[in-house]
Amino acid sequence: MAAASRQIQYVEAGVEALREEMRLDSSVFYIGQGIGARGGNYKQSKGLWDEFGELRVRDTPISELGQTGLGVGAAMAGMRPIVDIVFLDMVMEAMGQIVEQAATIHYTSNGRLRVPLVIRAAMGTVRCTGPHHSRCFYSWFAHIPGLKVVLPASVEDVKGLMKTAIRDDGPVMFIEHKFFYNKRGYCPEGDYAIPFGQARICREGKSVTILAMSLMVWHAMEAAEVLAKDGIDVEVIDPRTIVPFDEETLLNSVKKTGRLLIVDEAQRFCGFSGEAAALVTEKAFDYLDAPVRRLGAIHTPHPFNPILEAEMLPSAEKIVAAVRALMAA
Amino acid sequence: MVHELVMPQLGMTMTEGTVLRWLKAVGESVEKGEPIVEVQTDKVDMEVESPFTGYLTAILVQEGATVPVATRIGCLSTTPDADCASLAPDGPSAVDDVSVQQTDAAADRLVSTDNGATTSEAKASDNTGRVLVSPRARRVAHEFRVDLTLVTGSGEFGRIREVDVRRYLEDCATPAAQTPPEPARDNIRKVIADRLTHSVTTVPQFWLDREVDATGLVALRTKLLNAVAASRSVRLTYTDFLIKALALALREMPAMAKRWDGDRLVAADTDGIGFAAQGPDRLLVPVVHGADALSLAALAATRAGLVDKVQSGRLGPADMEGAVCTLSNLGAFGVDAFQAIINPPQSCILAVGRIADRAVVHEGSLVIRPTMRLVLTVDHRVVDGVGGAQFLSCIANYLENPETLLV
Repeated sequence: MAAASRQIQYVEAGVEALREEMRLDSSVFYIGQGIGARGGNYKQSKGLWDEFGELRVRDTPISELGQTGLGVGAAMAGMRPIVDIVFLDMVMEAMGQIVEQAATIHYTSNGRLRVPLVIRAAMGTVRCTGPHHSRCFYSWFAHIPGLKVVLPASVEDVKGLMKTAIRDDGPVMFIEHKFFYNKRGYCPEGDYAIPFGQARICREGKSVTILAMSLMVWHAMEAAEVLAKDGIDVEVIDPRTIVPFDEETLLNSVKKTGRLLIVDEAQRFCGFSGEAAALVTEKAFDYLDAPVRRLGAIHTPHPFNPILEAEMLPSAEKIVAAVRALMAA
Repeated sequence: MVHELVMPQLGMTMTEGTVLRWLKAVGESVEKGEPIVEVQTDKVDMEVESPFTGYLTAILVQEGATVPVATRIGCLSTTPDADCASLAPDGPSAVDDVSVQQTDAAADRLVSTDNGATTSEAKASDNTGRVLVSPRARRVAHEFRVDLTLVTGSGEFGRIREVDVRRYLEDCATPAAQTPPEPARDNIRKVIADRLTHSVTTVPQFWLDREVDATGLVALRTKLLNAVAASRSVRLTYTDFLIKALALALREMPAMAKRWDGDRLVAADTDGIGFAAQGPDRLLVPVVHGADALSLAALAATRAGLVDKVQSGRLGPADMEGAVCTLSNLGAFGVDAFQAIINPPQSCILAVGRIADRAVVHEGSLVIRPTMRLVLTVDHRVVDGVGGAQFLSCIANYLENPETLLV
């Protein structure tokens, strides 16, 4: 049946969600650099300007600070803006507006004002995007009270999570991965929203749990296939959202397997993987059969050179080796 | 400076205790006040805190063993290597057992090997003498009462993991093992068995049976449910009325609140009413004190708090002390009446069956009334038939005229 096997690109699924939500709710509008007639650097807004026009799909000058500030103000006034930063690295210019304003206004207004703002950006490397277009610092936003952080890692998830993000009444950091954009996958037709705080068990297993974020989910699944041949049964969990984080799924998994490997493309030191490891040690200590281990990027800016880049980042091969070490620990 | 760790007396009637689980290994440091061993006594499990800051330098009593109160079960020292030899002997066997046990354990470690790595090599890398065990393996070992000093670890640094404990258990179960493992001693059942056998064989008991008209009781309880719920957020039960009735009856008939002390009657110095409550794996009898002076709502709240402790396994020895008599209610299980066994040194126990509509004669006609059958078991050394009957009559009057419980 065509519906059951409907395969579209990750970026198309995102656009589908945007289009459907903009049709449903006229207060939703979309701004960013190059997202108007051009349809976005990665075609992440393709067709929206054609359908909704200048009023609701608007190109901005090169000023992340200005466009985000505009989004915050519009949201406070009752609109539902989506601000496209395109490259997560570029959000630095807008940090003040996000942290001091968007995340905090609901609290400092004693609940009277809301900021239903979606900030969309793509993180990670895809073939030498270099030190200014590759960062994965989503954990910084998780550390700020008042922000939600979403990391969709599949075609089906990006559409459902985008809808939830737009419908959410608070600021949401919607962080996709550049690598995913042109990859195809199954996407259901029609309206469906995936709630935040619900992890996805991508693969069930009994020997070891891998918690992986964003693109690392795909590498973990690849590693799991290799390990299965040696009788090592890997359970792969994609949290989907970092804030809110689904503790229960992770803890239940670790209680079952006794071993946890956390895989993140972000630098390992002071990244989210530390938080997940502490959580498990605190709440599932007596079920651990080995220390919790983490794989992350080496602590350096992203190299431009592809050989160095491969050396810096986790990969399916490195995950396989780490799991083998964990089984022997 | 070496100190001994002894089996503590955790309740007034405790004479012996069982070591359940050592929370520290030999050579580990411990702070004063930190839990060091878990013991079981009289159906209750408790954590024992270390009396000193230092190192646990010897374990003299293994998990699963039962010893009298005040027996030396371990040694603590300010340095990790001081042994117990400098302590005054606890008895000739204690010190000898230490050296024998440590030699055996060491011998076992050298003899058993796994996957080519001998444990003496693996142990050498941890020079404090600690046995490295993953938390998961420790949990499994506790569940199956495995002595971890006998298990070979196959993890890094010789760490014992779950698979190592399970492999050890499998090896124990194979015919190659010298002796089949004994079924684990169930100390709780032993305590119950001892106590009840003692009661039935040494206390001359007789029984008085009376059917009580519960019409008034049912009506009053229904009437008071909301008020009690509003006042204390608990549900008023028939047990609460029964405890109150027992307490008031005891106050009116102090002869019942005595016990036979071998050759004379002695007045009880407490006023507790115990009531049987089912915990997750054992029957316990928490005690309510001063019930005669408590309002029904306060009594219900106290009772509910104790039941909660029983069900969550938190009832302590202090919660079970000082009962003068016991209430046992099997009404919820459809029992009409039964004869309970006295809990020495108490003088009586009241067994209560279900409240059910029964055909009774009332003023010459056959009517249907809710009734409840009470059976009072009495220690004949404390009270004779007439005394017992009067006591039961007193209780019955309170229950048939329950407003008098509120006065």
